[in-house]
Order: sequence, then C-alpha cells, then structure tokens
Amino acid sequence: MPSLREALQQTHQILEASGIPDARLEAEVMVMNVMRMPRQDIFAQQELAVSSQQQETLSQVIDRRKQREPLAYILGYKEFYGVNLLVTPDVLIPRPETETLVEHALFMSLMGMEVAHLVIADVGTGTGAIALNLAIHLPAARIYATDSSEKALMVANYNIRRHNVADRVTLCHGDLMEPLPEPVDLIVANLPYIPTARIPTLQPEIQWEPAAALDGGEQGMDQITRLIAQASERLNPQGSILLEMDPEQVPLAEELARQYFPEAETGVERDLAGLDRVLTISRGVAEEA
Amino acid sequence: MLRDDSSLAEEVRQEILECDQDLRALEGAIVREMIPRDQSDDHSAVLEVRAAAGGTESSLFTSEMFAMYQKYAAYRKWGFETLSVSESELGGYKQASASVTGTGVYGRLKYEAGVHRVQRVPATETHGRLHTSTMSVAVLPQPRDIEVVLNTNDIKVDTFRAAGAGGQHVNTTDSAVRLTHKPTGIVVSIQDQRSQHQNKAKAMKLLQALIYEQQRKTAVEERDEKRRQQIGSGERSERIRTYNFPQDRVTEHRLGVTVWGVAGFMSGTDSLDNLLEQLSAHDLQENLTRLME
Repeated sequence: MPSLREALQQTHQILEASGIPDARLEAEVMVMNVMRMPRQDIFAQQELAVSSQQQETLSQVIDRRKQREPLAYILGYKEFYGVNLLVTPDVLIPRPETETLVEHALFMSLMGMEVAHLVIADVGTGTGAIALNLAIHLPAARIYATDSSEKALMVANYNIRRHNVADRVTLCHGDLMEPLPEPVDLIVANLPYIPTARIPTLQPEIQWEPAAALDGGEQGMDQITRLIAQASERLNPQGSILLEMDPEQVPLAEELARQYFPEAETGVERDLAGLDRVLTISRGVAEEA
Repeated sequence: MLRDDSSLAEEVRQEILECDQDLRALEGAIVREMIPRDQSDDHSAVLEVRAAAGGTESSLFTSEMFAMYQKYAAYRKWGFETLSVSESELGGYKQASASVTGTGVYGRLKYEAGVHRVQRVPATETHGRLHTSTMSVAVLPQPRDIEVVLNTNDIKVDTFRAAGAGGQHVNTTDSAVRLTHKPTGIVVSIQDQRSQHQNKAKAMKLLQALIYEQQRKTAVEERDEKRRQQIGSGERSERIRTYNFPQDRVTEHRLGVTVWGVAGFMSGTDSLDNLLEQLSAHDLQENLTRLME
C-alpha cells in the first residue's frame, strides 16, 4: 500500500501534468480531505498507509479535478472569512475579494451606524456567505438574504442553520430587493458583474459555476444598475449600500449613485490585491436643522 | 502544670530544624528569582526547519524533523499550525515553518535551535556507505500583541494574483497573502487553502514574530558578549545534535549526553521531552553559576 507521502507526490504530479494551477496545494487539500486529517498531520504522518478505499476515493477526486471541475465543488465546501460553507454547483464559489466587502460592512456597522437595531439586506446571497458572517459578528442585527435561485437558497439555508444564525437571517426568494418586507439600514451585494461575452473566455473552472451568478449583461452592469435604481425607496435615511464590482465598473457605478442618491457620499474600498473592489454609498449625514 | 524540660527542648530543636529548612528553601527561591530569565519563555513560538544546500538526504531529514516537532507538539498538547512548506523536487522539504502555540512553548523549543546532523545509509545509496547531512532549526518567540505594535501604514499587503480583474473573474484554491513591513524590509507570505482572511491573520502573526526577533537580537547584541554563548541563544550555525541511525543513538553535543533509540527520539514523545528537560535544567544551572560570579 502506498504511503501518504507517495500518494501526495503522485497526486501532485498528475495535477501538474493536467495544468492545474497550485498543484501542490491542491494535492495536499485533496489528501487531507480524503484521509480526513488536518493539514499539519500530513507532515507528521508521511509514512501512514493509504487504504485501498482511500486510494479509490482519491482517484475519483483526481479524475474529477482533471476535468477542471472546481475543487470546492468536488469537496463540497469552501472556507470564507474563517467559516466553512457548503457549496454546490447551484451557487457561486465565494471569492476572497468578497471578504473585503464583509470587512467593510462590519467596520461601518460597528463604527458609525446605530448598531442596536440594524436591519441588513444581502442581495443575491448565493451560499449566504455575506449574510452569515455579518450575523455572526453583529449579534443584534437582523438580516434578509435574497436570491432569485431557489436552489441557491437551499444552500444558504443549510449554511445559516449549520452556523446557528437561522434565527436572525431570513431567506427571501425573488428578484433583487423585491421580496424585502421592510426598508433596511444597510444593503450589501455581490451581484453578478461579468460581461456576458467574457464568461466563456475565463478559466475552465468558472465554466462549471452557474452562469446566472456571473452574468451581468453586456457591460456586466445590469444587476448593479437595477439594484441602485431600486435601492432608494428601500434604504433608510441614514443607510448605506456596499457593492462589490470590478475596478473598471467603478466610475459608471459612481455616476449611477450620484444620479439616484444625489445627497449621498460615495467611496471606494480596495481589496488585498490593491484593486478597487467595493463601492460605498452613504446616505444622510443628517442635515443641519 | 510545668512541662518536662527535655520534651520542651526537643520541641524547640524540631522548630529550629524546620525554620532552617524554610530558610534554605526561601534562599533558594530568592536566588532563582534573581536569575535573569528569558522573558519570552512563556510565549508561543514560530519554528522553522531548513535543509542544507544540495542533497536529497538533507531535505528528507528536514521533513522528518518537521514531523518530529509536529508529534512533539501533539504530545505536549500544543497547537501546531503550518505556515509554509517548500518542497524539494527530489522529496522532502527545502524549508518549512509552523506556529506552535501554548504556554511555555518557546522556553522549551528554543533548545532545538541550531544545526542538526544526521548520519545514516540513505535509501538511494547502493554501496551501503554512511552519509552525513545537516539541517538547521530556528525558533522565534511569538510576541504578545502588545509587545509588537504594527502600524498598518508600515505594512504593504499584496496577493500573488497575476494582473487581471480578480473577483468573480477568478476561481482558485489558494488565496495567498504577502506582507511587506516597509521599515525593516521583512517580507512574509502565506499560501494556504484557507480563506484569505485567515491567511492574512497568520501572516500578521508571523510578521510580528520576525520583527520581535529582530528587536530582541538588537537588544542582545547590546548586552554582555558571554551571554550569547549560552545554550538557547539560537545561533543558527551552532551544531547541537547528531542523529546516528546505524548506531541507533542521538548525541546532544551541548551536554555530552547520548540518548539511545533514534526512532523513539524522533517519535517526539518522552525521549525528546526528557532531553529538553535536561537542557533546561542545565541552562538554569549555568545561569545560577553566572549569577554567583
């Protein structure tokens, strides 16, 4: 029977030969999941024998990965902001850039806003990644998480229950903000923002993700535009909006913000790669009487 | 009623004896308190193993040493979190590092710092010749947050992403983070399957440890030259131990002590623990002696 060390090396070689990026890291993640051990044990247990059943499972994982199926879909989970989330092919796999959105939302909530009765809307929630993490770190907040896909909401439902925030996160099925029962203090959204024509040119892994979660129309701005247009009536006077987008979309979005929220302050937050990533629209600093 | 004189005398003698013992114990305690201790002994630590240049043997031995420390951490119920691993193409590791957390971790692991030498017949050796290779271990104390205050303006953060829009455009397993501390030029990078958020937190901790180490080194250099020769000064080039596989023994050079059973030693349990205990006791003794001078 092969040792863990051998299984790792073989897996690494196969992945690399198939052109999978980060082959070594992926090999480690695959082995640690198949062998059900934390990553550091991989180093301590190099001589551990890999059973034939484990070899078989590993083989299946590798075969699927060779088809460029995203590793997160194969393993069924993705860590986001320190929390493990269930992912299925019905949802977009959370990206690290969205952590910037979460961080900034938390920052704004804790610094400036009325924390006690904060009502938040996560529009297009997908896995529930944003809603869930806000619920965890803002114990007094009530959160609505909407999505147009029922299947996505099933995944979000699992995640919010799994992390014990189901009592404070309400899932709503519908288009953008339509299903919201009341106006909110904070709107956060990571809506699809890839231009339609660009999607097929992206890496193979992305072709496995739901197109509806990526497609933002011709310039990638359709969903964002609709949201900004809808938001005015659904946002409380002192409220804010945080939207994730591409750097090149920021100027257009700022223009839209000025149009629909002439009195609001806008800002842009960068992600860890230094790119403009999150547009912030802050209503009402209260006017002087 | 008056007590018997002789029994009273006996009582007093007993009391004198007990006071005497207490006195000695207190004197001992005072002296121990006066010994300058490494303030970092209580802290967690960052452990790094590194292979010597060239040679599969060295990198294989390096990976085995990393495994030994992982097992020792488990034995001591410490946390052991891998920070980085750099594989060698021929097997084993060029370099690896881990954050080892718990009370008193540094005070223990610091004695591992230095060069470890291995003597054995490698698997690839066809003529049964004995090879000697080395690897080195570095141990840094992990400062408490308050001891190293990092100004976010001093830190440049970046990811390893190739140029491009990122965000929804990209789907990868890794979310590597690189931190550059501008004032010192120290660079830290963490590549992991965990969330970028977690990787950034790990990188910050590692950066803290490295900056702290630099601060300490500066402080030490300003002190007595002799102190640098003591055990646990962490001089990287000091050859501290030899692992001889054919003879099945481990020789600790600083104490002139031989431990039998290499496999048992490298299982990271009692054998290693006992040796570290001896090194610690020896260190204490040395400090005591120096104090008396």
